[in-house]
Amino acid sequence: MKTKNAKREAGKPVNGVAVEQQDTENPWLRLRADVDFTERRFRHYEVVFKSLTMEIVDGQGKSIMTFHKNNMIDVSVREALGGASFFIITGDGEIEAARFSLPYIETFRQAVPAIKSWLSEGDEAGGLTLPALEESTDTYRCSKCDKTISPGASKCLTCSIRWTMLRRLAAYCTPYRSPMLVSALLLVLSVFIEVIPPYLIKLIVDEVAKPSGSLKLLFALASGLALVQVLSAAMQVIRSYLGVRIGGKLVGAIRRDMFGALMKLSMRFFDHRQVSQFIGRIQDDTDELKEFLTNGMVYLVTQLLLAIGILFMLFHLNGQLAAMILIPTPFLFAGLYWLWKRLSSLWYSQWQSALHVNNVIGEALQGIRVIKAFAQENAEKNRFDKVNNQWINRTISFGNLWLGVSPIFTVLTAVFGIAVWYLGGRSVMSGTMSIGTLTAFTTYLLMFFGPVQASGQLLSWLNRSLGSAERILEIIDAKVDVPDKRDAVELSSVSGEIRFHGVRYGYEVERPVLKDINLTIRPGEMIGLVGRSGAGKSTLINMICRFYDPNAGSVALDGHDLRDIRQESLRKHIGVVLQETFLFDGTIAENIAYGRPDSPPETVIAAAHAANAHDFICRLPEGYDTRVGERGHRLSGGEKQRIAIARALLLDPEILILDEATASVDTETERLIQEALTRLIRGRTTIAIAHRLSTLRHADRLVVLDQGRIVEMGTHEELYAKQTHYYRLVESQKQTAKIPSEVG
Amino acid sequence: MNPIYFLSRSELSQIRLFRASDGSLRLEQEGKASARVTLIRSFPYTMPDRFISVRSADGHEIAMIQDVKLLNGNSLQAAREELDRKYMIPVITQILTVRKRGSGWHLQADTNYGPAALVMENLHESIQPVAESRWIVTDNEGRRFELSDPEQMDARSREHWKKLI
Repeated sequence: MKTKNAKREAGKPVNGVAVEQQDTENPWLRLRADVDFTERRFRHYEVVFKSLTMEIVDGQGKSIMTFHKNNMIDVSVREALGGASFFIITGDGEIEAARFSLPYIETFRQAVPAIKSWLSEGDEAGGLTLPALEESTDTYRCSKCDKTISPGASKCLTCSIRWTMLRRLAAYCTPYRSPMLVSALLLVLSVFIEVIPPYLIKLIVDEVAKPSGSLKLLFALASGLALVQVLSAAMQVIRSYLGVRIGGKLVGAIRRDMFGALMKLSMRFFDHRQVSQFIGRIQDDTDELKEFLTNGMVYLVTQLLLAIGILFMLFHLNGQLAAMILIPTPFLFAGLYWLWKRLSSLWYSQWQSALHVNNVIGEALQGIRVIKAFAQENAEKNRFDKVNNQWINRTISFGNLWLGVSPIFTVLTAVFGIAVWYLGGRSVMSGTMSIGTLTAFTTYLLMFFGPVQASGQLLSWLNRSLGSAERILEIIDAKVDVPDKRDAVELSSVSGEIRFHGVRYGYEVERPVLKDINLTIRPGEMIGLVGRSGAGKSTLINMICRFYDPNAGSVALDGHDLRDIRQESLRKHIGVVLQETFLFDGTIAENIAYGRPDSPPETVIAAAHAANAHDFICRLPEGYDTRVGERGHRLSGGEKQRIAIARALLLDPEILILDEATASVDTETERLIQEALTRLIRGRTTIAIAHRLSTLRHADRLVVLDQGRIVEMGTHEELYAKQTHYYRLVESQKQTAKIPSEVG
Repeated sequence: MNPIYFLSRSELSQIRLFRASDGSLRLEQEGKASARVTLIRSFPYTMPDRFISVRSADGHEIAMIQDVKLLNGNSLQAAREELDRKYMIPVITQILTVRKRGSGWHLQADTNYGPAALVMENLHESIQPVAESRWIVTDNEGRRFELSDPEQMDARSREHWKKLI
């Protein structure tokens, strides 16, 4: 199969599926592929299905290969790392028909059932009903401008340009409009005032130089100068006060939104990221932004207004001389633009290094026990040194750039200052200009070049803030994989019927963990999930909690697709007891009442009692008020587990999920937990995973998973008697655990 | 547990790996034939050509090829083809342009699969190191590209690369 270079043509399906009316000429299905496997090159072509044939068509629409339907027995999609292949199975064996990268996999997968039914249809044309295939890429649209975007992003790239970003940041300022307006007014006033002193000095100098100078006028001018200084200082104080207040609240609002966004994000987001980085990011990035919004913005506007004011005064004093200082301005702007580009990429790489350092610290602290147990402190130190040195180097090169540029600015401006002294001095000598004017002129010039020189510094400031703003918005705008629909329903009470219909899911697109799961769990039924590790048990549970959405098929609770239920309302009805119990910083009572913080103490105690936790809690000196969690009292694994059970009991959910709830405890504790669990399970739809199969013997039904598929279902006795999958699992456990009396 | 069969140099030149007439991959070893075998890289990034696990149709390991280069010519060819199908990670050979538009990064690169255009939301999550001097670049569509040993690229690519990490 060889195809010529193909360009995407208008009107053709782009990684989508077009289902058309069946006709001998018109294809009923077209699938796009992008890898030419004979040459191992990217190349666009299509697999086209007509009523009797399947054709491979290149970019120009030329048919390269044709398979007759009669010769085809079956088709399949075989996943690879980073892509997949489409195989057809003929009487002579299998043939690879197409190869494609990740974005195309889902379309091919969805098409397979339709192709299979086409193959089973026989030769007669017509009468073939095809399920509507979902188009995969066209569903991704920018939330703002409705342009198509790549999957995984919530906004298109045109919508995230800098100015839009600035506008969004400015939106944070809206609640503080009036104090900010006052601030701005003061700003304009103070700039105006700041321009006055040199002019007063000019008047003073001219007055002093005059032989007929008046002492009275001199005193008035000097007093004026003093008044201006006092006024300017007062305004400075008010402005700073407002700046600090607004800035503090502003950064608080941004931090709140960032944390809110993190809480809203799905499990998938956290699966792929080092979590500890967000601690630093919430703090550092918002701080950087606050610096800019409060001080930077004020500084920027002040300097700009000042420059305009001074320029006006300069032209007022001497137009010819003033025109001269405009000569270096274009060079300056060109220089600043050059600098901007470099600063921006340097700043990002510096930020990245900081992130790496944060990640190394976070990981080392989370794994400190393992590090110490394996005596790897030095290796960790070296790892830290490496990223730290990189950070240092990048900070230095960031500084170096500025160091290299600023002398040029200084020299350039100084040269012009000197030229003005020379030319102005000549004018004074020839009598066309007063000494006072020259003094004022040079003072203004110094003031003017001040902001110009500072603009480099300002640039780096602006850059860092915009970089931080980008990182902040990246989190706030991150796409939620399991969003709540706008018309999602609230379930007040549920009976607990869970139905899996053709569910397929993979954490990576090319590697499905669950394949074609069909399962109905009746209300109040206890299901034991059994299978080797990696069989997909926990993933199945994650689907019930809707931590992830299936790639294909659906999960329904009481007939409602989970995607149509508000997540908060869904999870209110699900209680979870996991292998590792996470206790929050707080008292035992607070931890038990985590799902229902307003529960009365009687309920908390009753729940603890039913969970066999009451007795050990009472043995603690501080009882239910014992602080637990990261900084609190250390509870044993079994104790934590019983608190988790009490937590679930108190929530009184209709659906209960037990994921290895008795995995890491001794036999006596297990008995206590088991007893508590039996109480907990009563009357609830329960899905339990247990490594020790003996604990699931009383389940109403056991569901045996193998490599992502359900291979067996039935009671313990039924499955054991069948002597297939479940039997083998039990037997192998008997051998390793040597507790034959417990099983079978 | 089954023992691991590391095939020795002489054994490796003896085994025959080939595509049967039905299109599936077959392994012949000391007269014993296994049909529908699959090949799995133990170290897809760090040692792509070494420690190739040969698995039977039901997923059991039949042999471990220490180095595909030690296979005889035809077997080597068959192994390469199978591995190419199973591991579709194009290797970036040159970076032609790097552009930042808005907050997205646009990369034009040459790969061993031909030219490719990558769009990434950001760099700190899209480019991840997998080994010493080896990175995996994931674009917005989830496609993965490998970049190893940047020193092998031309000067312009190296300059671009320095900006990226």
